[in-house]
Amino acid sequence: MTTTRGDRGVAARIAVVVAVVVGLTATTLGFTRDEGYYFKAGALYAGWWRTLVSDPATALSAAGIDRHLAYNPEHPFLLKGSFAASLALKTALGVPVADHVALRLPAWIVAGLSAAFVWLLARQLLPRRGALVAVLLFVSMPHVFWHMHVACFDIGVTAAHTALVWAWLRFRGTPRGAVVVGVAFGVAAAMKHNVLPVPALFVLHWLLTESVRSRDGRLRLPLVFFCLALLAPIVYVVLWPYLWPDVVGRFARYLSFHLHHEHYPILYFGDLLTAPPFPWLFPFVMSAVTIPLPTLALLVTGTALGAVTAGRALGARWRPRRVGPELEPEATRVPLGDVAVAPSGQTALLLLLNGLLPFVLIALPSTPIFGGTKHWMNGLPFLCVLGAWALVEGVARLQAAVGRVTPQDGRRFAAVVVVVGVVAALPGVVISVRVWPYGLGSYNELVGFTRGAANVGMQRTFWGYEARAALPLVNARTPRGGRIHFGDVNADSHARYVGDGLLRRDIGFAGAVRGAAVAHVEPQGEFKQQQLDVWNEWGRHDPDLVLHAEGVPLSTVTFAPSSSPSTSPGTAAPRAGGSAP
Amino acid sequence: MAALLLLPLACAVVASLALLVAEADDVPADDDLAAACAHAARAAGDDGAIVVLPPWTLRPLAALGPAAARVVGGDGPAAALLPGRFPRVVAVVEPDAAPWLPALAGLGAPRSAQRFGAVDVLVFDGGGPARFDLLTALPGARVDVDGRPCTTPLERGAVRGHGCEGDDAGLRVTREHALVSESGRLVVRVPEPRPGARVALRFDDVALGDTLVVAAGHTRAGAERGRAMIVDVVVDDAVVASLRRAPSFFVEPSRAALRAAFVRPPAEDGEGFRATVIDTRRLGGGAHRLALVVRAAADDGAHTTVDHELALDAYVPGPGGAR
Repeated sequence: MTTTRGDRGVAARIAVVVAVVVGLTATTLGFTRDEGYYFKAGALYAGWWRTLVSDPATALSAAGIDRHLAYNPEHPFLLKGSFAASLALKTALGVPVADHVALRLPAWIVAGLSAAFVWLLARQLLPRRGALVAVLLFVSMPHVFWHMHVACFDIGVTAAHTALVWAWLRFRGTPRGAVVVGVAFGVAAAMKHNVLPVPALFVLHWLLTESVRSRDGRLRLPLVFFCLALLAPIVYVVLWPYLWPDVVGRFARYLSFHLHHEHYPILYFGDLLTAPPFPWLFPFVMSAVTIPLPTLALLVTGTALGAVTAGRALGARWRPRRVGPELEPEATRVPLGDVAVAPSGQTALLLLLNGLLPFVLIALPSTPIFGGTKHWMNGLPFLCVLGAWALVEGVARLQAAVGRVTPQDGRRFAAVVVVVGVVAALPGVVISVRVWPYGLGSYNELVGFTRGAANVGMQRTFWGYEARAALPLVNARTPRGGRIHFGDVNADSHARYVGDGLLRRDIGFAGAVRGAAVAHVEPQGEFKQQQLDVWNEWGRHDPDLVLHAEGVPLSTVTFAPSSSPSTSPGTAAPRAGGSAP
Repeated sequence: MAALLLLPLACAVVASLALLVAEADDVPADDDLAAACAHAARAAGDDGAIVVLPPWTLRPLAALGPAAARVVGGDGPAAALLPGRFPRVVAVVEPDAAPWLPALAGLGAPRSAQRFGAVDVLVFDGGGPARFDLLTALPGARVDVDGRPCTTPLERGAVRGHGCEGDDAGLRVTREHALVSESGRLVVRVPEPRPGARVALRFDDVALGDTLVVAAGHTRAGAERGRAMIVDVVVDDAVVASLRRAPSFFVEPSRAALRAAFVRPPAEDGEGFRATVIDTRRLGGGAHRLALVVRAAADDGAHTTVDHELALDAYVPGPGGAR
């Protein structure tokens, strides 16, 4: 199986549709804490783009690079640079949209690409109906869908990881294709560091499934490994101008930052986890309680099917048999990819390795676990493909069990796959709609949705993005010149709210409840103390607004007793999820 | 094989759709909450306590308005400190509160129950008022550090307490809301000034009854950084009980099994802020001198005042609050 021009056309349409849906649904989504940093980086980097156009020599000099790009060296340039380019273009062309829309636009495009690459990867391996199911499973997961909206790197690296594995499967066999894989890895690493271990997976997979010793006993490495080792770093450095003045030193500092990353607290079964060792089950449990149940069922079934077939493939290769591995009969009715190129189990092993590696990395007790589910999100596309495979295989076996079938029956069964895929994806969509725009607080059926998750003590928000829905009330009631204590919202996000006209210009940023005119706090986990600060400082226990998902409070807004209301309260309650007295 | 592949999905789809439909009405409507909270505020009056369940819900606080100041929480620590303390306890109960309802069993059966949409309002006879209440009595307490009195009255926002002077300058014993559970509650915060020292809160003319309820435990910060602490309960110069509290944070009983399975095993000697009921019948009724003396369990000389902060609450149940 291989992707055709028609498949690439479908991929383009998927990318456009997803990007448009994401863009249209982003209007109520507040700015996340990290976006505050990346918005600021975007604005600074935009200056570099403008200098590059007007005075390339200065822009490319060490001084020019450090002047514009030295901020936030913890992450590569590519995505922040695209946010910046979008902002610079918006400004240059005078497009009448808010700056944050321009800054987020590249993220939405990348979100569209992530779904498109899931389609391309799945089409490389499955019939169209299966590929469509894989895409539906992927985009309908509430946490994935939510992360598609924000100008951060997690959906970007998810798209890039998927593209890299697709390129590996599709192109690695030819010298030109090997170059494509090398470039793909360089680009992926330039998105975020999550993908840095992926070449090791390729090597492991090759050693386990394909490696052949020559007559002199040596392993003959394919060209693609040289491209991954030599070409990708060049691409990586080219795409990150900040490194240019001191590639080794600056990259070493970047690597050191992530190897010694600080730990942010996270609430987990009522325990505020602040320092390692962290529970190794964390990514698996969090996935089990956040991925909608039908999707979870397919992902688990697909993983099991992949494990069984991969085990067979490995057994056929490494155990002495009467027949060679290429003659080992396929275990499934629906092959995973072109079995003339590789047995299904071999391909399943590749998907399993890429799907589970992000989980395993976060499961290591010393790995920082903040960030909810986003840090292993780049493993999900591969599990979605395996899940779709399980569904297609199951229906094919059902079809065989029914007996002799006509071509018309075959088409009906194909339709059944799509319909079942849609039904499986539906709960995810319903959950997203019910909690929108608070997707980080979405939990699944197993834990009793968002309210059940609150009962067992799970983290229901972070990054301070809830605040946007409170801004109309804050604008209406904050005394002139008053300051807001913004909870987890950082000063950079505050500046963007002000810059984009969402928050009154005279409302300043306060670092504490004391001295503030209004407090927006997240009443749980590491931020719960701030709510108690409101009670202790102001003696007020009745918030003026409670922003909630499914009735579970995500943040509260309370005005200081001395703040005289200029309009009646509650006029700025958001469309959904806000309760004002 | 087809069944193996498709049955989990089929079961998951059916379960998912059923649960989505079943739980669609679990979110109380604003109007219902407003009506329920208005009723609760009236029922609580000026001296009753209000409990909101589940404890994480905050929408009732917004709907209660000024009466929200009467909310004492609803989680484990709050429930344990209710019987015999207030004349009335009113519970505002949203859906999904089932894990927390057993904690209210100490109040007996509700005197009345009324439903407002998805919200129940239960009114209990509280058995109070308390004969003695640490939280209201603190301003009149004598506080000392190893006998050196702390005489500076403290008042900052809604926080009240006593400040120390001289060598103990900076030490404060305050009544404020503190994170002794995920919900937080009003407690008396007692930090220890230096290794080996004792902070005493002394009260004269305390009318004892059959029991004295003393709650103690670490705040979240104290649980992370602190060490074991001891509260000696002294009546008329005799120690009637010593409460030891290892540095740990409160775990809701309903979460204990999940936490043990997925996070860490429970501490052997109990966890976090919790109440101990002391039988005081042998001491007889009438007025007594009561002192709560806080000290570190071990003096290793390596800690700071922040490390050894402890949260306290205590009361003598009223005649209707026999436990």
